[in-house]
Amino acid sequence: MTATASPDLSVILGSLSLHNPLLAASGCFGYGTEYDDVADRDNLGGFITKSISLAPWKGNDPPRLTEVSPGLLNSIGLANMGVEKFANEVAPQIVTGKSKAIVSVACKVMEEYEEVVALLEDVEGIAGYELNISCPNVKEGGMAFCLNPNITEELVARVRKRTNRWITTKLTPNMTSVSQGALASEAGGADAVSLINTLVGMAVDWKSRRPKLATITGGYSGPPIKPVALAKVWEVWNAVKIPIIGIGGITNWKDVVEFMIVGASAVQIGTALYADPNLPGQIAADLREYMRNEGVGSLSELTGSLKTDRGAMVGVPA
Amino acid sequence: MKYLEDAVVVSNREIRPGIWSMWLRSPQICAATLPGQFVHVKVDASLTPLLRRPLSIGRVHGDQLELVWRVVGTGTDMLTDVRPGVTLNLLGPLGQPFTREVNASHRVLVGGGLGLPPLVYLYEWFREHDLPVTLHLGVSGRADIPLAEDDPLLNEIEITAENGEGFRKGLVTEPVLEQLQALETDGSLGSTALYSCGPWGLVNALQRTIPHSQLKLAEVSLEQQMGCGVGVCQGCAVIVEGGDTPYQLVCSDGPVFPLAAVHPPGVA
Ligand SMILES: Cc1cc2nc3c(=O)[nH]c(=O)nc-3n(C[C@H](O)[C@H](O)[C@H](O)COP(=O)(O)OP(=O)(O)OC[C@H]3O[C@@H](n4cnc5c(N)ncnc54)[C@H](O)[C@@H]3O)c2cc1C
Ligand SMILES: Cc1cc2nc3c(=O)[nH]c(=O)nc-3n(C[C@H](O)[C@H](O)[C@H](O)COP(=O)(O)O)c2cc1C
Repeated sequence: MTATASPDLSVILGSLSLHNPLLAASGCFGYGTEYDDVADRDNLGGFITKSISLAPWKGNDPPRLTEVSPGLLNSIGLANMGVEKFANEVAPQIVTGKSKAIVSVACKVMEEYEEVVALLEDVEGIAGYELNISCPNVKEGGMAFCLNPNITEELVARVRKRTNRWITTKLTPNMTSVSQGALASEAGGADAVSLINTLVGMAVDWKSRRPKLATITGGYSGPPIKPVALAKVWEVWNAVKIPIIGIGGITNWKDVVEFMIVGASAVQIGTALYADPNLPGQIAADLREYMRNEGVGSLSELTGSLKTDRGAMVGVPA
Repeated sequence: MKYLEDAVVVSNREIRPGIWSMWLRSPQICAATLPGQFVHVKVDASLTPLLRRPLSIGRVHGDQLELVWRVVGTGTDMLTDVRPGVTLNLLGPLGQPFTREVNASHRVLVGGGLGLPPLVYLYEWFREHDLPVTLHLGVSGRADIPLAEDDPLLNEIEITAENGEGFRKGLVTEPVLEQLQALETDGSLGSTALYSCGPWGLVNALQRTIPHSQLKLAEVSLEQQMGCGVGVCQGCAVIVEGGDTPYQLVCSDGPVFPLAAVHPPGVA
């Protein structure tokens, strides 16, 4: 294989093509413009907005964040401006450029998902939707949609009727079999699945005996969750045919390659963006270097290329 | 405009036990910043600590700025090992600055412990603009003063120490209240601006004891555990009255808020 001077990082996820496999994860890139002063959005293949609901949500009581080195525990509670303000004031600014704008949607009941997507259909340039059915930090809706595959399938099917745009569902690792959620999404008509959302976690102050988050438990993210995420992606790779977007603890190009090897077609970077909003540009440059050095002609040849002696085993511990 | 700038460390020294002062050359941030804003510091290139650490911008002299911090954990401890010549990546200037009230008749600044640095910056700003200003500092003792022993400011500002130790003995709210009473007698209370930064105990005491509603302006700078620093993660919420929701973000709505509107954590 001849390595070209500037390797092409583009990937295709069904009807969505991206100039590189790096997406910013929901909740870690705001509505899309917040980092514009300091980071070039076009270094990303795309970005997922903060999850948007029908009405604005105020979020949970503080404290909402605590670092659990080297990870992060959050209980934001999907604080967001609501679809109306988003569609009118923000969306027109984020659909410019070569980085694809994908809107995350999170609601309390199914009808609201349909309604939010219907309202966003009027905004030109939105590349697709990520249905967040996996947030561990809200009392109503959230993760509950994902825990029941029948509900997942119905929800995706109902949204599918409202849009021809690309749809991915964001799945939770907090269930026995994440592949059930992936299969249900596929059956409902999703174009892709995104995993993982945060793991339910907790932090306690030993001295005061108080929880470090007001909600007591929260969602755990960052480098420590990568092994869990890799296992879930591998499990889902063995279950569905639609593309997988790998998420969890990515901080460098090797992490990206590893996620692709276990089955991802693209990845999302979350918590690591807080430390370095320019990380995607760095990873893209490093991936080009990797492709040149290793003679990789196309990133898609990595997807699912895990070499095992036992063939494709579903990721259940022996 | 915010910048991601590799700032060169010019000096780094322990000014009191456990309290450090670092000067960095950071031309873009220095040119853009105003008193009350902060920088989000990438302490180390590794994953520890994972997040940046927010520190108030202290004095700004030309293209150099000062950070003053107390060692309380991993990040603030690692910063003590940074040697001159090394670069630290800063994201800033972040947050909303203090309202620089130029039309007030007097400006009263009240810092508690490590709440002093942003007020030193504000104090110097008012001085440069020839505007009357008093800076009060409350500490438990000399060891808690976030100024070096040879710092000329030490003799310029009003220090109150719970242990005395050669300073006025007591709580900082006492001289502040006396000054405000004198201003009231002068008839200038309503044209006085008050700025504060410090622990919740101080914020609470100011809310309870001083006639803040009669002042022209009363602001406070708050702290909260912070993620991104730019309003993306919504992590640093605090309870503040008067917005669309009960919460505002320290990083982007603040850190400066109206004194009367802020509530301590857990008291909505
Ligand atoms: C706008 C702003 C300005 C600040 N300015 C100063 C300053 O000028 N001087 C100074 O000494 N301190 C200042 N602080 C507090 C300082 O950020 C914390 O002391 C520091 O983050 C502690 O980090 P650590 O790794 O040493 O502690 P750890 O306890 O190991 O930190 C763990 C996590 O908690 C966070 N954290 C802990 N304490 C605080 C706190 N009080 N406020 C916010 N986050 C906290 C850390 O950022 C980190 O994410 C400021 C905070 C804010 C929000
Ligand atoms: C502060 C914070 C807020 C988040 N908000 C959302 C959200 O609104 N919607 C969503 O689908 N995921 C949200 N997530 C989850 C991330 O998108 C991602 O799935 C998770 O953090 C794992 O990736 P990481 O380890 O790279 O951060 C949030 C994560 C964090 C840390």
